[in-house]
Amino acid sequence: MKGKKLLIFLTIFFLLSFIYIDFKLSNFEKDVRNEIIKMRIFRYILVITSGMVLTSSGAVMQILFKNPLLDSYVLGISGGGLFGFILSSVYFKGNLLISIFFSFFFSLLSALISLSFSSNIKSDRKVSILISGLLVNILFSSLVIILSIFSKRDITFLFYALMGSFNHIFISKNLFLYISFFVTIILTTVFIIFKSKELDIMSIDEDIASTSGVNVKKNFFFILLIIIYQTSLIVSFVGMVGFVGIIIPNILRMAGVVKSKDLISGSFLGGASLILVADFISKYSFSFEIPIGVVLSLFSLPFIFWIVKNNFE
Amino acid sequence: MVNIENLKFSYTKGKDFLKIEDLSIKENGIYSIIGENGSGKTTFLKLLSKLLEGYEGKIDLLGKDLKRIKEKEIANIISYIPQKIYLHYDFPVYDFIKYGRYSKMDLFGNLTFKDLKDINFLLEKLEIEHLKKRNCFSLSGGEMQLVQLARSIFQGGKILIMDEPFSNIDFRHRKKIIEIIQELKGEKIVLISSHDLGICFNISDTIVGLKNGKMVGIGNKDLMKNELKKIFDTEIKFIEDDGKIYFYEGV
Amino acid sequence: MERLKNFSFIFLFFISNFLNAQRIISFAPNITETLFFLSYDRYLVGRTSFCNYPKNTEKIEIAGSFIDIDYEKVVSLKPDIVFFSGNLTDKSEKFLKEKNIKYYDIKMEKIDDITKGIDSIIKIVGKDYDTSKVEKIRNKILGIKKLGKDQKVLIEVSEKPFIIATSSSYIGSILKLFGFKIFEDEKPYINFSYENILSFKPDIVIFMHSFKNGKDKYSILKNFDKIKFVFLDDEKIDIFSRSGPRVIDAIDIIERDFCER
Repeated sequence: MKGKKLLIFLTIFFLLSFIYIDFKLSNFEKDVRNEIIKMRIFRYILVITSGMVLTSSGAVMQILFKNPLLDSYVLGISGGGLFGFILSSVYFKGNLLISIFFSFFFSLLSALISLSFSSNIKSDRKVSILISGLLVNILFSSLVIILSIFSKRDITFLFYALMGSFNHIFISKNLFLYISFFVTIILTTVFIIFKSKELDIMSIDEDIASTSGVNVKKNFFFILLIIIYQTSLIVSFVGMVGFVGIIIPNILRMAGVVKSKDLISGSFLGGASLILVADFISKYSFSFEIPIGVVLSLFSLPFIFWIVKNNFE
Repeated sequence: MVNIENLKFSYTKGKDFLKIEDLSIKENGIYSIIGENGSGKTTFLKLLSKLLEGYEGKIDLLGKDLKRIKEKEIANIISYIPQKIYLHYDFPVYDFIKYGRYSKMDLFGNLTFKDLKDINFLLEKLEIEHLKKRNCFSLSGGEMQLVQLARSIFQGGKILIMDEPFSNIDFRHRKKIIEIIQELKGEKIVLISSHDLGICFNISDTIVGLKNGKMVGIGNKDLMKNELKKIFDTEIKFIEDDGKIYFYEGV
Repeated sequence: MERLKNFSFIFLFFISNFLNAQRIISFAPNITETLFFLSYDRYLVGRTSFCNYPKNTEKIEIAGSFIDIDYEKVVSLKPDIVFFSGNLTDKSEKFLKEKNIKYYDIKMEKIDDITKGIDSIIKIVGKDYDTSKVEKIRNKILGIKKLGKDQKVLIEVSEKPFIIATSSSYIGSILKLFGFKIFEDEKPYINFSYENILSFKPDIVIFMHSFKNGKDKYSILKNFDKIKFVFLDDEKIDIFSRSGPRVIDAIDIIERDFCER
């Protein structure tokens, strides 16, 4: 994606961003407008970062596992992360830092469980990782439900956590933490972009990568660790948001984007735009906000079907 | 240049899959490894390429112990072409070749101007310039093998290892690959494993026979043509003509 | 005369706004009803989409629904006080704390809680109110006369799943004051089964849902012909599920429809 195409895409993106922040703003009285804009900008930043992270992490996972149907949701990472987050919010009421540490720990755990499950299933590797990811996801989703019942959480909380919602309440006391998380996301993202050449070679063939001088195992686990960190951070804020990491990279591939660097940077723009539109729909289509996962799955199921059809013949 | 002593390797504990007591390659040239399916050809080549770990014994490549060779160093010693490469995602041919010199890339994945010139020179030499702008998925098996060969040559490993380079390749491309390999033999050690005895015997300087993970014979074609029964457990017929040797099943 | 009326109205409106510049959002229909009952509706700036009584509520802006509150709307309404009634979520609490808005969760689960709830609302809003109105409710509740005979009442809340209201629920607590026997449980609403029907043997069954074939399942009881089935319409369902000032209506309905003289 170069030059003109990128320009058109960016224009659309900025237009979407403008609509997102400006929508029905004139309905509000002048003196509260600033407050509303502030709230929307915080939400906008969360939406954009989540879109970028969830999509690029999907793209990277698809390269690492050589399976176009993977993202953090399918692999069970988000399920684990959500469980860790809720677990910590039960025991350490509301401490964001501890919650995110728990979320990261359980994301890692779920990824490990998922991987060890899949290595024990004697089937096509593409299928086995999907099945084990699904099992881990079900396991942690159930645990989330049980934990919520035990901790007497209201049912709407579950409704939004399991399907994802960007309606996060930012607390000004935590502003410094938010900024530091944002910085770590930026840094790790830059790191992954720098790792795109290793990802490229690893996606060709692991033996070739190895003899070309890439430490395949080290790179695999290190990149996976970073993806898990990013995902667990996002899950702590928005809950489980799936599918966006599958569709955008696959659409990009269909459009002829093949190199990891282009795929990842394209995912940033595509993921951010898609999530922005989806959140807009989820925010305004009904009298109350519907979870973003509902909108996204309706969007993406035809695509998922198409991808499965093309990959499991 | 390649020195192997008491090499032992097993996939499952207690059962040696490969056992080579002594093998040394002292000069450049083409070396073929022949043997039945499961005789350990691929395992042997993977061991040399540092793709398998946990072997006993000693492998010296260019005077260095394989275990002590660092990740990025291996790229200058070994160029490896696997038996079959199954691409999951499409990839541009040019970048495919370019990544041969991964070990020389900077942080941003860029190569020096000289390196880039080398690619073009190589593409011209191998007569695959027309593939430069295409993607790997659109290539035929033969074309892909040529691209792989270009990649390995560009990588610049002193030892070129090719696992079954002629299987499923059409005649025209096979001929071309053979020509390229023969040009390379002055400057590289080319290790080939193949079931195509005709090619092995006619292009190799030395042929190594493997059976059940053990070396059953090593030598030039005149020596090895009489060892075939030992290696394959069956009578293999051949005709010699004008210094060339032609095999047939005789049924 | 008309002019004077208009003028005085505008004057009063301004005065009341200057003196009592309180802005209240109610996120529970029973609280909304209470606010209207106490004539505090002039401070009410926001409600939920299911606050539908009295009719004047329609004029008040909607700031939330049964799922979640509309955070942007809440900010734009600039409330001083936000009321919940047992439905305050962690998220809403976090939000209101962050925005420095006072919030109160007035729990009015049983009939006894109504006067307490009204008292605390009066304390919070802290403005003049009509004392006679509160007294009326208090007297109405105190005036409930127990019936002589023990009649068992089963209150069906939903058919599928089969859920009933117990003695801890609002409607249950009213009926209990009348001397009816209600299924005893700590939780206000519980799952029920056919076996439970057989062992409980109700004399009166109240349907708080619109599924009309609900009475079929009671045919397993021997005294099926003698059972009194009461179907409540939507308005009555509201009256019997929202613990608030309409308890007066609730008591009247029970005296009129349930008690055979």
